[in-house]
Amino acid sequence: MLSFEIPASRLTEPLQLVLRATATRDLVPALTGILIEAQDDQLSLTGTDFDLGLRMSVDAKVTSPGRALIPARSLAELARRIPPASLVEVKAVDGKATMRFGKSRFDLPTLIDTDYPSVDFGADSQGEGKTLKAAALRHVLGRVTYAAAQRDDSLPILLGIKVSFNSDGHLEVCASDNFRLAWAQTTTEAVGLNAEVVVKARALTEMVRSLPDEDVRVALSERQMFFRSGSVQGFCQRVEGQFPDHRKLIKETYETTIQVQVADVIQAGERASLATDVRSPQVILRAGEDGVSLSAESAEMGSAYEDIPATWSGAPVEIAFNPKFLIDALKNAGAEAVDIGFNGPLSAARLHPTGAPDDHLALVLPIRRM
Amino acid sequence: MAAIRTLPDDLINAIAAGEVVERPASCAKELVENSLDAQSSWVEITYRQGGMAEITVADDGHGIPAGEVVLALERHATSKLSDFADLDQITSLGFRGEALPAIAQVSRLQVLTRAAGDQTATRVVVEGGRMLLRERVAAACGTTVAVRDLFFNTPARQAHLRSADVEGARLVQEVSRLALAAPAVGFRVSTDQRLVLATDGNGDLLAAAASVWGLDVAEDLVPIFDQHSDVTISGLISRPHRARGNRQAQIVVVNGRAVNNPRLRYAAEQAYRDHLMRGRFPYLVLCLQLPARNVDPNVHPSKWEVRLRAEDELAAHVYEASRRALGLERRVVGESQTWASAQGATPSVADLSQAHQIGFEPVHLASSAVALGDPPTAVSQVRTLFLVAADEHSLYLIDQHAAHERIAFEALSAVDRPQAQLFVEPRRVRLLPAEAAQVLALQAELAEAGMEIDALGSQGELVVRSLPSALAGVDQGALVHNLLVDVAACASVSEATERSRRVRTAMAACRAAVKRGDRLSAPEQQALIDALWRCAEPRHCPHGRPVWISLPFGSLEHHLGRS
Repeated sequence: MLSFEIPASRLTEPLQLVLRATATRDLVPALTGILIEAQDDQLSLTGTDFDLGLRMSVDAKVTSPGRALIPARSLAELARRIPPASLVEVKAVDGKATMRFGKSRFDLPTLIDTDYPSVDFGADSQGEGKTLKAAALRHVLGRVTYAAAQRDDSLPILLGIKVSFNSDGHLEVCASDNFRLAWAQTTTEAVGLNAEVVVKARALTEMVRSLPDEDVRVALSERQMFFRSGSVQGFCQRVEGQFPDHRKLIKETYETTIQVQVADVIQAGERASLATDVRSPQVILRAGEDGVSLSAESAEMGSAYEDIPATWSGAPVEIAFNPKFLIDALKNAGAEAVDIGFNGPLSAARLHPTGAPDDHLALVLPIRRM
Repeated sequence: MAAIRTLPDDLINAIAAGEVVERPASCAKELVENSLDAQSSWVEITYRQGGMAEITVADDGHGIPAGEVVLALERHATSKLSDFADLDQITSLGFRGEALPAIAQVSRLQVLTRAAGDQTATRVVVEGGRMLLRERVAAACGTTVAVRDLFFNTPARQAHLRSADVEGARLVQEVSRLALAAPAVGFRVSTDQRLVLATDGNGDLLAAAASVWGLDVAEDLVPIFDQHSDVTISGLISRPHRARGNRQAQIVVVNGRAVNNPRLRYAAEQAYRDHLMRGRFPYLVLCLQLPARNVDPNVHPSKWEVRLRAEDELAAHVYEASRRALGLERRVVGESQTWASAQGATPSVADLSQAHQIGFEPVHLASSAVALGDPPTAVSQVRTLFLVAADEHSLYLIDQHAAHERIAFEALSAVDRPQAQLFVEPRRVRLLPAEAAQVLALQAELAEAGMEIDALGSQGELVVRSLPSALAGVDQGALVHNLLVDVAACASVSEATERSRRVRTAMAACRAAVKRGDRLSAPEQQALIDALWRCAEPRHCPHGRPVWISLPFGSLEHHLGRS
């Protein structure tokens, strides 16, 4: 038996937030639910799909403490439609949760709450945690997330983002699907934390999105990375494995360097990719005495040639890329102009914001043409 | 203990007869071949009880001159060969002089024949090799041989015969081969007043095939042709979707002789490699014209097998000719895949006469073929397995997985754009040592397709440096490992081009497997269909399964009672 009263306005947002962490596929039915626990005039709402866990606490008038596991999607959808001014009365008993508000009454079947896994939000580790700005995390992740592998059946480590803290407050993040790699760094207040973890990109993105725009306390355990900010707590499951080491891939010197406006190359690249074979797309970048150009051709789609305003130095180069990889890197550069360095047609091209080479870099591996 | 002694002549002859005539079908074959050698323009075959009671073969050929009839019934008497030099130049179907005497030994035989130059015909009756009657009678030119009570005096052989139905079917099968090998000769086969097979003998192979295999099969046959130096390859082969579960509809004709040549048959089948499911075999008539000195039919008494000089080279030509013929018919809308024909609708005679006009000029076939139109518009996705699409005329049900396979296969096969997307970090993959060795044997083929691999010292471990760019961006988890395991199996294929194609088929299958069960948005569905329609052969996956079925709205309406 669980029962409480809460203004609808206070319930809606936490439910939407926790919903993000619940499982969409019902491999483990309990994970498709939101766990509501009530005691001491506090509700705690929990959702997890194992990779990501989110918990939010809200004040409520608890008339009977207890817990219930309610299907997340129907609960959140319903909560969204309750007039914000209403007072909602929730009672869960005998496999049924009843919600009353105004002149309405809803019965939702509950899931079996004893099936719900015990989730650890790092209460024990928080002592060693460090605080940094959520905005800093968002900023660096925004530069690299695109490069992580997307599909569930990818090599697990490549689904992750590598997050490294070093003791002077330095934060580095890195993502790679093994065809391109993105890296970014910033300085934070989290001095004294020295660790390197890989967590799933999707989970980390949702986690950071759920954090209020203020200080966030980060802590680590052997298997998880914990976050806590205001009434929100969360964790991301760590991924085991050897992450590609970007330091080995960055060369001291580049034979060819060009400087281009990001918008120019994106537009040219998007047009040129219309002329590539969608089954096996490639654009060719040439840089030399005649300037910098992008071109593409295919038997079915015709051909394209794009002259790109740029400065060029070093050796001439002709190199082929998957246009998507090149454009993704540019779109996430976070700058108006970038420097791109090349070491011949078969080495990774390095891309970084002009004038700020230490903040962010992207590596794009070329296509070997045969 | 029995003493060793020389066998009496009639016993020798009876034993030897068994080598040539083992069942009614082979008896009919020998007699019909004699008719063909006699330049007949028609051959009529009637039989009773599967040929065991009677086989009669009548023709309008040049007949046997009165003075030679008796000689023709003696063993090794033949008009077709006189000395050793002739053995190198055999152009007739029979030549040993074995057939007629052999049959005469084991049956009650009657020969009625009149040569063109003779005034009267000769009738001879022989029973178990003994001549009972010889008389002059009136009859038209040509020869009629009636064989009754086959094996009446060799019960052991009779015991090996199967039921009349089975023996009859074999006889018809045998004659069908001969009819296809000699389209310029009219064949009529009947039993118990029932016409079993008739060809009109107008010299058109397609017409003969239509008579033997049926109109619907003939509609799906395409001509093949190849000529180089003194060898000509012609014939008909079926489109990939028209196949059978056995090889009975495959004949190889060398200089007019229907023969068993597995090497050439296999070469033609190889041409279907990506288009036919395992255990399915195309219809084919392969006709080879080559100098008589390149053929040695004197291998087997029944002449069923022949030896060919430069057989590997011939096989390569057959393969190429078949590929070309099949390649030309791509983008032809396959009638048999529509709902209407799935329901058993027979193509009209008009359709067939159109096929006749196409004749043996492959270029016409391509240009007169109905081109695959614009891609249909995606309507929906069903169970993440099928796409539903429609155009003006038809509804399409598309196998999403097969479509992915076809698209990936063609992207990988295009010779003008093999590309290797390089890895940030080379991938290490551990295989079983044997598999790794097989994969390494395919290093060249893999690199050519865009996948660069190397051994990494210890047993079974490989590094992969790149993926074909058509596979990049899909996945690298299970893909690389599964792919290499699948590819390993291709190492045993001896022919290089075939090996490359198998490697690409395996890659395409892997990519499609990764995409299996993908939920596609509306634009993604359309993109997939568009990409499929751009394929050279969009109707079959590389394994030969159909990619879609189409239901013409006309027949849908008909089925729903809205005509």
